[in-house]
Amino acid sequence: MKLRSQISLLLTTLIVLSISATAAVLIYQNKQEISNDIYLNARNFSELTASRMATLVGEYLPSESFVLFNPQMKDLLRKNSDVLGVDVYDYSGKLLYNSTTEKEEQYKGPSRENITDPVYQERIQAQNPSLKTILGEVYYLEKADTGQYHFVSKEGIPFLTQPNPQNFQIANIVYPVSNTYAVAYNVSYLNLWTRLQQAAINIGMVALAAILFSILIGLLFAGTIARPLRKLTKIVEDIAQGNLDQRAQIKSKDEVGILAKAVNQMATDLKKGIEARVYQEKTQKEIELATKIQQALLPKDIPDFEQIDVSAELVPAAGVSGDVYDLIRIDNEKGNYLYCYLGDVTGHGISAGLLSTTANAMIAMLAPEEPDPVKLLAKVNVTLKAKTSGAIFITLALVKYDFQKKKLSYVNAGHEQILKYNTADKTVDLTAPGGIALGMLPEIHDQLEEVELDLKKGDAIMLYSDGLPEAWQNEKDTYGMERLTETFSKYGELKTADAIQKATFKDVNDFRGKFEQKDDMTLIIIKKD
Amino acid sequence: MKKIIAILLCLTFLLSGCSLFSSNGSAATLKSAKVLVAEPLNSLDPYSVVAIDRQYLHPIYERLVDFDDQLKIQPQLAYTFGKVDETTWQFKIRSNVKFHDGTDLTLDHIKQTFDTIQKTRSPHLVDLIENIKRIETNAPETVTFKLNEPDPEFFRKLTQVPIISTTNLAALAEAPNGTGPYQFVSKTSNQVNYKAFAKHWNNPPLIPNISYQSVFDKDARFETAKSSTDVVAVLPFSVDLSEQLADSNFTLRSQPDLTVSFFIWNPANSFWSSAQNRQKLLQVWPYEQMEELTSGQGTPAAQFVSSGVLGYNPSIVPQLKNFEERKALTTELGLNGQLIRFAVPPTLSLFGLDLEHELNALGLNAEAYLVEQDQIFDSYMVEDVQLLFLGWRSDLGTGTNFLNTIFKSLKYNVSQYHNSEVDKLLANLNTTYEEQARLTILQELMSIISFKDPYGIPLFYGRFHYITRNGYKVPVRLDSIVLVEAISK
Repeated sequence: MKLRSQISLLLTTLIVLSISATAAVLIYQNKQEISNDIYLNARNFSELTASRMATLVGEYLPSESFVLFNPQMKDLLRKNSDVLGVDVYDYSGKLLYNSTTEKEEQYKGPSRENITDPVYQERIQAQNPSLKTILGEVYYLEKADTGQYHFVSKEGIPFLTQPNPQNFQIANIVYPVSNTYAVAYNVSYLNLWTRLQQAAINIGMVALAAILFSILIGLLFAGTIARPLRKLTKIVEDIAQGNLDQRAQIKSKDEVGILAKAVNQMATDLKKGIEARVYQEKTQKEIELATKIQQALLPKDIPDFEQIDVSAELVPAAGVSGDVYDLIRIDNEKGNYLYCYLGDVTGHGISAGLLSTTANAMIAMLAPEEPDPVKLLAKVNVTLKAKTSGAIFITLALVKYDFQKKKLSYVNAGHEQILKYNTADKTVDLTAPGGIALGMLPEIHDQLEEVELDLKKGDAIMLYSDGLPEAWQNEKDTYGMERLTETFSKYGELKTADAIQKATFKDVNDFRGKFEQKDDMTLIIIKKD
Repeated sequence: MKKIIAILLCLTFLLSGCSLFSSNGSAATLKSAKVLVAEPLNSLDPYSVVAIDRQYLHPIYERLVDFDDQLKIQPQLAYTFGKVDETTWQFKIRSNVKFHDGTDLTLDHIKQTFDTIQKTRSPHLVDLIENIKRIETNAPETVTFKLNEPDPEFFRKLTQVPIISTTNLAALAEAPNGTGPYQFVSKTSNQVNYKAFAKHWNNPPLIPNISYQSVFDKDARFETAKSSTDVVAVLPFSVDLSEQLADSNFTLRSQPDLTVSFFIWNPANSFWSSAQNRQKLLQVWPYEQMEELTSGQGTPAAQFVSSGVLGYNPSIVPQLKNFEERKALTTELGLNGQLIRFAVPPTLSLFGLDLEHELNALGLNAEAYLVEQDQIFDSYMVEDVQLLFLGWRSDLGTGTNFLNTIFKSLKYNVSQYHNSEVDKLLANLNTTYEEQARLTILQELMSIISFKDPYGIPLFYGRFHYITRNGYKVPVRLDSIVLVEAISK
């Protein structure tokens, strides 16, 4: 089926459905309103006429003045077409007049029996008028001083929950008059159904006209939609074949115009996307290359040292790392010592990797000539500051182990505090924070300090980047310094630095679980043999 | 119930019995309310003949049916009632009614209440129930009255009969035991206290405690009201204190009472036996002077029942004219010098003398004739007395009793008034049960006896003045009974 036909059918169906629903609602509301009207009319009619009817019965029937009585009763009954007829009873329940059987002639038959239905008898003898629904429920009505009616029991006690007259249809109303007579009005809903049928026919005719009109409009409307859609289909097919410079020339401001604009935008975005993808692929290759270079700068193997056992590991977060570490063994006239450092550039990625690579190269270059770790870092800082912007810098902890003096010292340039494991009591000390990051200020010599650590046999120190304590388990919880300290105190007694390093990483990774690693993580363990 | 009241009693009631006061106090929520009246309780006997006692006893006792504030019949202990045949009335009694002592109301109590009245011959009640042949209580919830004669307004008479607990009749005068919304608590020489009856069939009233306090002096009554925070109504109230109401927390209310004062003709004088001559006198009668002649207490009346009473015909109004018109009409109608001697009680001598002056100014030959109240019916024997002063209070809220009494009683129909149309309508009235039809007949009767063939000269209605605390609704019936159970903010 063609699009035009489909749209036309859809529109017609929708209109038919909405008209049907509206018609159903209208008929339902109409039914309730008419039903309520009949109730109100019958109630008011009974209120207005009961006394008069009783008077007529009392005045004329005892004297058999039916000629005078009948026209007046007929005249009263004509005023409400919903009331089919009336019965007039006396208080004892004796039928005095029946408008259905006594249309033209006064009743002359045998004495009528009193009514036997006790509920009906109660209604005739009540003080208040009452109504009976077609379902057989009986409600008494009492008129308040305000003129409003409310439903009460036969003893005049108001119902707590008032029935809604819209929800029932009355069969009759009994209106007692002056403790002497009661007039029963038999109510018909024939008019209701007639009026509803007429309403349904009217609504149906309107609906039919609306449907025919909607089909016509639907066809016209569908044509106006289908034509530009066909144009658009051709454009989209061209784009699909790679012709990304194709554009739809539809200027209308309706939904089709918006769709054409969206197709054009899609073609533009698609072209840009393909260009961006080419660029991204090129960049990715560069990143991979930079990562390989950086990985190459890291020590491939950790050599065995006399007196100390060292283990290090770097786990980058994404591509090029901002963390850097190195071990530089110096044996020359300046002395026999090991420089071991761990740095962390602000951020990560290519720019961080470049800075860390630079720092790595400079330390490697200057280390043989500068046995003073403070001066070493101060010199590195001068160059880094000169070559980088103030927005990027590197924190770094540098450890020097002097094999001759068997002394271990460190300089902290704004990095995380070094942890020291004391094997004697299996405690972990947190060294004092200090220094300033490299690359922040032109001259930092005075802000740096070499601190000596008394490392006994079995003692160990831990250098780490902030990626460890700040490893996230979820959106709220991080590994934390406290847990890192505990881990070190727990595993510090392991025999090798490598074992401690691996155990610590395992603990951190276990904590992190499958949650994304957000930062580079680097860990160096130096254990005193 | 019928009652003949001399104008002395009328004016005593209207003038000396009225005093009202206001209070600046206000009570957000009343836990108690007090009604100030003029006269103290005479007796707690439920059948006391003293009128004021009915005010005190009304909250305690209930009746099979009772009046609302407009004297419309309301079901009370009977939730419905009706005429089974011409001489049988049936009342269906509520099943959840208790006396104040906790015992249930039974059909026997109702039957015995009427038996007690028959036995004790309570003067103001026995006339009302003398038409009862017997009372049957065979059917559940149903009391059936068998009457000797048809009585379309039998149920109205039952508004005057409080239903009592007959278990201990002797105790009732000290410890009333009714089914009403309030039960008796205590009494002093000038106060009676009540509390709400928690087990009342129609739920207890809003105010837990009420009391009636009597203060005879009208000024003292007003002062008491003003200085008290729980006084909600003062009745009656003297209108001469009206100016003081502005500074008070009370509002003046006024309604016609059920008493109409009038003259009836003495048939001894041949001139006035002519209906035409009586009509002439009515045409020149100084109705516009009635208010002044009664010191502002009476409203000119042109018929024999007041508004609110079944039968009152609103189309019958006093013909108000100015003095010159009346004087000219007196001459025109040939009434100049016509002797009019009217009998009034000595206590109304001022009224009589003023009226005499007014009539003489018109050119008539009027003379007030002072007669003691108990001799007023005898005065028609005096040949020259043409008009006798009477008052009628329609306690049953209908003109039927007045008409039946006046025109069927030798005592009251001293003028031997006879009108065949009236007789026919009366006969029709006594067999017509539908109220609208009865009203039509009564109004036609009132039209005949008030003007077409005047039975007498209606003079004035009493007006009943009282005050109520601002912000409170205090329903006072047309017969002056305060419906304390319906007091509300």
